[in-house]
Amino acid sequence: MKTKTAAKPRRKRWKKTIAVYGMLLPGMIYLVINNYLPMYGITIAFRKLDYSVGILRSPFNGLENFKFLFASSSVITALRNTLLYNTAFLILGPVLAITVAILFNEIKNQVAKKFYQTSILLPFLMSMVIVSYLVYAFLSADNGFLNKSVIEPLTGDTISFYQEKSYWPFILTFVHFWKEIGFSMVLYLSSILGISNEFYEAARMDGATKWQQIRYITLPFLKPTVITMTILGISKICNSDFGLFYQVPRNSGTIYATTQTIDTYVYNALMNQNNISMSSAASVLQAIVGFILVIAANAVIRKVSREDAIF
Amino acid sequence: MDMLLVQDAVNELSIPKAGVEVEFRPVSVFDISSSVSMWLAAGEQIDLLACAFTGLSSFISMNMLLPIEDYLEENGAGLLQMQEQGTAIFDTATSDHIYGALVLATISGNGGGYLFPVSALEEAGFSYEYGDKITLDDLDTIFDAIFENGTEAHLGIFGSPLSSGYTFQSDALGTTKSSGVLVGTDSAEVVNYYGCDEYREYLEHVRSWYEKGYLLKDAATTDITLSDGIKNGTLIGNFTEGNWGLVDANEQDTGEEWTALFLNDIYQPSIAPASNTFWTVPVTSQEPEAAVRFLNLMMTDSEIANLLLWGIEGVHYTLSEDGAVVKTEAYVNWPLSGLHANQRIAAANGSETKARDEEWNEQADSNYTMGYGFTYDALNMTNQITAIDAVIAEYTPALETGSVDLDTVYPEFLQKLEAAGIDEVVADKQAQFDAWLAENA
Repeated sequence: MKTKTAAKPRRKRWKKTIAVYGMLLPGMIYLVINNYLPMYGITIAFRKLDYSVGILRSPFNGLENFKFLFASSSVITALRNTLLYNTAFLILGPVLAITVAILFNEIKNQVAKKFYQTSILLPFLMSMVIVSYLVYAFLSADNGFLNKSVIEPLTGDTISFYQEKSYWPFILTFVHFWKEIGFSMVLYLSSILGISNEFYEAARMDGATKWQQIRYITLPFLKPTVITMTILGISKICNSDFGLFYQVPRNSGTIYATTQTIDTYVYNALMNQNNISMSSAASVLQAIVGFILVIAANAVIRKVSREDAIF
Repeated sequence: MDMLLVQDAVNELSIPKAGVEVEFRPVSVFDISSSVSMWLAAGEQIDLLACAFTGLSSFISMNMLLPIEDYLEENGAGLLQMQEQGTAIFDTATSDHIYGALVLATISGNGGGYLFPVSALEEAGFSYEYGDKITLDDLDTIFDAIFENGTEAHLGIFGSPLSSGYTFQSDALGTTKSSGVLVGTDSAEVVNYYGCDEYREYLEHVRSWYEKGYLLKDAATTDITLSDGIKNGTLIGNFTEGNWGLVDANEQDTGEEWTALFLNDIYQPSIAPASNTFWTVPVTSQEPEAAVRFLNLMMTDSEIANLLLWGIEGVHYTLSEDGAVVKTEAYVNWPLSGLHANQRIAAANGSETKARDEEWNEQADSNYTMGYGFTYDALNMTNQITAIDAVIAEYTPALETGSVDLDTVYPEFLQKLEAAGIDEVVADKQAQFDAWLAENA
């Protein structure tokens, strides 16, 4: 209908927008090189790798490489842990981060605000290896702070945390949020700062309490951010933070029942086998599950509230 | 970088001697498998490659290595000569081709025992000499006496490296214990290492030591290293092979007298016992002839061997009057430097070591296991072994440090091993071994 009238301006518009597309180019090139080119490696998962002829000429062997993933009952445990931890992180993540972001938004003293922001962000910048030693300094049975200064004086006994699986769901969740919350909080805080003050002024005029302002203004404005973050999170539901699940529990076998995830299982199982095909198989499987879940989650959101869906 | 100094010094010798200039590529020994896969998949030119600890079969099955037998005549005369004179440096069991040369440690064969500081033994009222045979029950008595004397230190028994392998004779037949072993030197029966009586006996002892507080509470997961603990005196010895080089290294590190008491007679297991580390030529090599020439030099030239193992004389080490190495500063990590060349032609660490090692090798060569010369090909069992390895990684650090209750956890461990298919793998290993025995009997 509009083609005729739009024909001319479109050419002009093209001239205008070329500069914008030009700016997009470096990012696109990066994306292609970094995220799309390596995808040809997916074929490794379906081949029996033969180094003398190279990847593309190695013979196919069907799903042979995937078999090891289902050869042991530990995989079920690892899968269960991965899903449960990620679900907990997905649900608790926004709740904690938004709470902290709202609290931050209420700090009026600029110096104090800067101070708190830096200190809450600091753990995010630490390497997981360092975090694992901090945790060890607390939990070690021989010299750990908790054992030496709290548990032993009180009970006369020590707890070998690294041999007790029941504590770890709590410990790992705590460490995860201690480390990550500073960063995810910033995302929500920036959204909150973007909300025009007029809404709050109008609400105050009408006698809205602080809680009502949060409930009816802040949270609805944060909804798109929460949805985007959740969909991104769902795409990684089969992955796990390797540092968190490998370094922090110090790869202690006795507590695998609550600490092992797909990633650490694959690492431990293939450490000594240098079999690229099998590790590719594991990561292809993770990617496929993640892809399906993202599409599914987005479809659900499109059904529930169309304007919030990402695509 | 000190490594580059050594590289230059090696080149000064290797260019005139063999017409080869080398460039070192350092890699952490624990990352070899993964790094190598990446390098070769990316087609990087590596001419000579150490396959450390894992044996060759997985590398061969993925065609990562070039057969070198055609180059040997012209470029590897020294290697051929060693093989002919009875030093088995080629792995002839895994494949019909020759893929590399075995790193020669100062000793061949295995022993197994406990390394003690002499002072601790004497203070507790014992007078043992190096090489004395003891049992695990004797160790109970010794440890009890030492700890009754009062000490702040602990036993050097950790989740990594594991200790059980030093407490009884076992032969993994060229692969890892996860696929089954021969126990003792006169058995032809492949058994589940983790299910055998000897293993259970060790677990019972170490559990009792743990409960008496002789081990660190964090023994299963600590990353204190044995050498650090020994140096600063917080550890009272550890389970080891027991060869004199280790005793001597501890004496140099602590300035104290050390000794080793043996739980086993020295024995010679299947191929590639001490290290299972081979120097190989990967498929991405562009000059395999030169690579073999350098390999030949590494294994036969004592000047090169000394450079690779110890560094530059006067900078990294000095020689004492009787020709023993006195370390001053490491150019690489010392504990694993034995992987770089032929240790038998290099200067030894400590003056008595050479003679003691020869004695050791003689004993080993008179006490073969039934599997000597056989290597198990685990290719058809890859999935099961992957699962078994995962179970082993889960349980052994805690079990072998006595950190967990034996009655509940040990049966669980065995049951999981079975679920992962260990019986099937052991049967497969037995079948291959029987076939080999029939052929070679």
